[in-house]
Amino acid sequence: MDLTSLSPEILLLVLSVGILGLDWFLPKKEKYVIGYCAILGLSLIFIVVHFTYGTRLFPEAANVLMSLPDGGSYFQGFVVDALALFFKRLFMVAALLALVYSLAYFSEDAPFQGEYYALILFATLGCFLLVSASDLLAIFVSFELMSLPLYILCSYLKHNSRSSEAGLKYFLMGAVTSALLLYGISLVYGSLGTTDLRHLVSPGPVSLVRLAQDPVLLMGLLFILSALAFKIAAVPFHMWAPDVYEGAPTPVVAFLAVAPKIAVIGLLIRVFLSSMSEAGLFWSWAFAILGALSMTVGNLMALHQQNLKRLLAYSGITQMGYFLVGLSAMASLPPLSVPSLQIAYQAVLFYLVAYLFSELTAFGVVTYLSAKGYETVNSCRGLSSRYPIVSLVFLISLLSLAGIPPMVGFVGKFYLFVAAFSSKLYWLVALGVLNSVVSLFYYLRIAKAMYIEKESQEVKLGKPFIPLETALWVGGFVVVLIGIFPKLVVNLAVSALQRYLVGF
Amino acid sequence: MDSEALTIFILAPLLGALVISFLPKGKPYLIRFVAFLSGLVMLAISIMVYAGYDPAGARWQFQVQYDWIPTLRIGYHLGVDGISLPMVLLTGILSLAAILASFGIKERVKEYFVLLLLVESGVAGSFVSLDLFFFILFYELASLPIYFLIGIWGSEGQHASRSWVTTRDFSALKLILYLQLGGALIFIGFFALYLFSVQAGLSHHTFDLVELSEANFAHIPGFARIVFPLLFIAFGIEAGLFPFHTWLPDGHSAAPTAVSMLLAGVLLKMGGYGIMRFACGLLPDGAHTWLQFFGIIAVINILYGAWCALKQTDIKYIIAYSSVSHMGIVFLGIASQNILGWTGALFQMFSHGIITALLFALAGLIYEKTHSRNVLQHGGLAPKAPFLAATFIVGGLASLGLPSMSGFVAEFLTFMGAYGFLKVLMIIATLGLVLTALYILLTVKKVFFGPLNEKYANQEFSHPWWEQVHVVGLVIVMIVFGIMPSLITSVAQSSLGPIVRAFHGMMR
Repeated sequence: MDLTSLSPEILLLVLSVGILGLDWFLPKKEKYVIGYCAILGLSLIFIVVHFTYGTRLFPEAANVLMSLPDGGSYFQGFVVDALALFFKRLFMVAALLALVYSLAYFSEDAPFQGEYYALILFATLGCFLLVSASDLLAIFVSFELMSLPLYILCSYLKHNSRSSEAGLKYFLMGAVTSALLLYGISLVYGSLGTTDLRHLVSPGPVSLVRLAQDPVLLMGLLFILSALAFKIAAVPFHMWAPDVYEGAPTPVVAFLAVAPKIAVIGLLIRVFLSSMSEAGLFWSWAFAILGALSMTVGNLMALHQQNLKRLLAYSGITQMGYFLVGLSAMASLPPLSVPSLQIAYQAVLFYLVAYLFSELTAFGVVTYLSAKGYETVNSCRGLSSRYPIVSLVFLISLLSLAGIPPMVGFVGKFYLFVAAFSSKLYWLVALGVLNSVVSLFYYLRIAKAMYIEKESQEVKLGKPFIPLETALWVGGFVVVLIGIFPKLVVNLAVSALQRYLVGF
Repeated sequence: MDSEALTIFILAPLLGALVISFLPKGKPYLIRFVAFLSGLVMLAISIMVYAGYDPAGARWQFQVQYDWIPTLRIGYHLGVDGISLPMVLLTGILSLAAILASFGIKERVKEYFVLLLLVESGVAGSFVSLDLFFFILFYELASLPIYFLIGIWGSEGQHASRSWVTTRDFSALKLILYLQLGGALIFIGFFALYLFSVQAGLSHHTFDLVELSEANFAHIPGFARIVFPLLFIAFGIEAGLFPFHTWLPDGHSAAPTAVSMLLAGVLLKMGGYGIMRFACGLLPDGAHTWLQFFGIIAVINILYGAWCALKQTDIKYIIAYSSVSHMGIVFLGIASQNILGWTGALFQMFSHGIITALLFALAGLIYEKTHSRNVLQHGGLAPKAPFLAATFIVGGLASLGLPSMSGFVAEFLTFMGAYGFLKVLMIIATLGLVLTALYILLTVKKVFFGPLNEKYANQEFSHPWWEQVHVVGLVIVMIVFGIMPSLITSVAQSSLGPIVRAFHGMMR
């Protein structure tokens, strides 16, 4: 057994515990150092992981799920492959930005800083494990590790009733989700007699015929799917999202809008697509319906939101709809049509990167605003004349979410829709494309408030916080850069998938 | 240098926008100078490309090609042929003219020029890209800034019939949603072309136009019959096709002068160009099935647009509806499916671009001096404003198709072509010419002749150099191409030939 391939997780665990320990030793006045230490530590881990793992692909350990030799997995529960590493890098970016936003959002003498930063890192660790998990029980444990810290983080502002409400709501919904997941797992186990994902692999037990004959297995898989849909807030499992987004502290929202959702999509790719391509058509329909609903309902609900965070919550639901379109495209393809299948996989991975940067950058600006209590669309009025750079970055990220070139969201959507079209999901593409026209309406509403309308109230954001400004600059720049040169990310996605698709 | 000319054509305004965004706010002269410079580069390159194009040589010239997203076979591929060449020239001319017409802008000058240059870059890019992905990219780049241009600098005041919004908010939103809807349909149509390119005989899926034009989509039963009308309507929305034209009068008349010029002058042409290039060029059999139907709609466009123009009293609405009518002539030329009609349609796109930009520029100048766009309140301006009167009359005459002006050549060719194929339609469409003459002459009469409105007795009508330059420049272009139509027809015919021959193949 080779522990080096688990080193990202180990390093992250050491860092989180270290942060907790640091909190113990620091005097009260110097607690603000903790945040900087967390950022520094995480950056170091990112560099280590990127430069050692990114280039060296672990010939033995980094293997596709299907032909996994025992040496590559840990207690039959986790795999380390290029795909997982691709995701892990995304989580680190998300966590890093969320940490920077937290520094800007909370005052230097805020209480429980050690716990706060450690919890974000623990949640990141959960995401790490989730995309590596190859056993249903491992999935459940990682899922909980990812979720529990976030429940606490949501209610971090303990004197703010909104925040407590958000935490409680998220926790209750999350508890239901976990129960669903666990129940689903038990049903699958009852039907198949194993929790190992490898045993779900085609041409194994889960064919379409098997699903039709075995209602227990079908129910189990549907329960798992609904639990995961809860986590990414796909319609009709989306009710928690707007309230949680609105109440929770903004940096936490930035993190929970991106990292857990990406992790769950990674998991969906692993569980439902790699292992059940035989029954693909069934899952394709499931994803397609969830996707169509998410896109449409999310959009329609977003049209008249006044609160920026609520608006972004609904826009996030819509974005998840686009991902589900991509997943549906993946699932519906017959396993033999490798080129189109590769496009579908690349499309989802590319859009993950697009979503990560666009969403996090947008939330960066919202953090900036909400740190001073401005959270409505109207409070953005005339922002461009006072804070041209912040407004520009916000505009770029919103247009990217709307899918306007030359931002990265455009290329991402283009890729996704090509993939869906290649899978003959014409109606879904038409719906998606029309939805992006509708979505432009509410994104432009914010843009209009910033650029066209005159100031109605004095928005004072205080003096700029350099790390946050830098993060916004970088975010906006990356959104445009990848949009103009998509090849940079496409290559990453291709190399992440190279080994993964061999089995088909 | 030669091969990168088209890249520079797109990058010149982009670079201009970038430089301007780093210039200090308080120096409008510097900002105008940079914008002027990039406009000048665009014009120079468009003329250079036009002169350098060899009609006897290969169809696609000045090509540039780089890989962009190899997994999807998307490449940065630029080039021109006889169809895009007149559009490139038009873009060069109008870009500079629009920049000159914007020198009078006083509010938020910096942002204005950045956005204007972005639009110009988008338009330039969409005319020269030979890759469907890049076409959509530039299409969107051209349309989105217009939302802000209209929303910030558009005409003020409440909307006449919708009291809850201001005119510019309403028009900007309507325009962008219509254009995005068109964009969405183009998206779907292009995906269909991509996906079926293998079935149509190519070795791999591709977004490359040159490769796609070698595919034969007629092999796939039913394909062209569905995708052709989709693409036609998608581009038609942008070109003001009835009944999707309603954004056009609202948008054009709420926009600031230079944006109206660009909208009517080149953005509408992107629609017409798209129909010729993608809808008809790639799917000739679909065109053959559907074009008679679209011929009827073209005639509705001509007559309905002219009728509406006749009924309007707002000078910008008159010109906007005349655009609807004149784009109908483009559609009619395309529907005629022969070389005369197509040359006429292309010529009409160029000529109408120049004429309507001129008329919008003049309407802007008239409004600036009189603070009214209602023609009933003008009257008798000719002796006070001889420059405006003379140029407006010349532009109006060109618009109604007076011989020796570019409008005449275009309409003559189109109607000749239409007569060859759609006799009845052509005869009905000529009624539009009568209506056009009527509304143009009535407008000229109301604005410039008759008793002078007392309000303007003491109004000064003087024009700084930039206003004179772009107005006179457009008039000269209009007359030059009217006298020497071969400037366009010679380059156009070599490229139109293959497409039109494809139609004839269908008819047999």
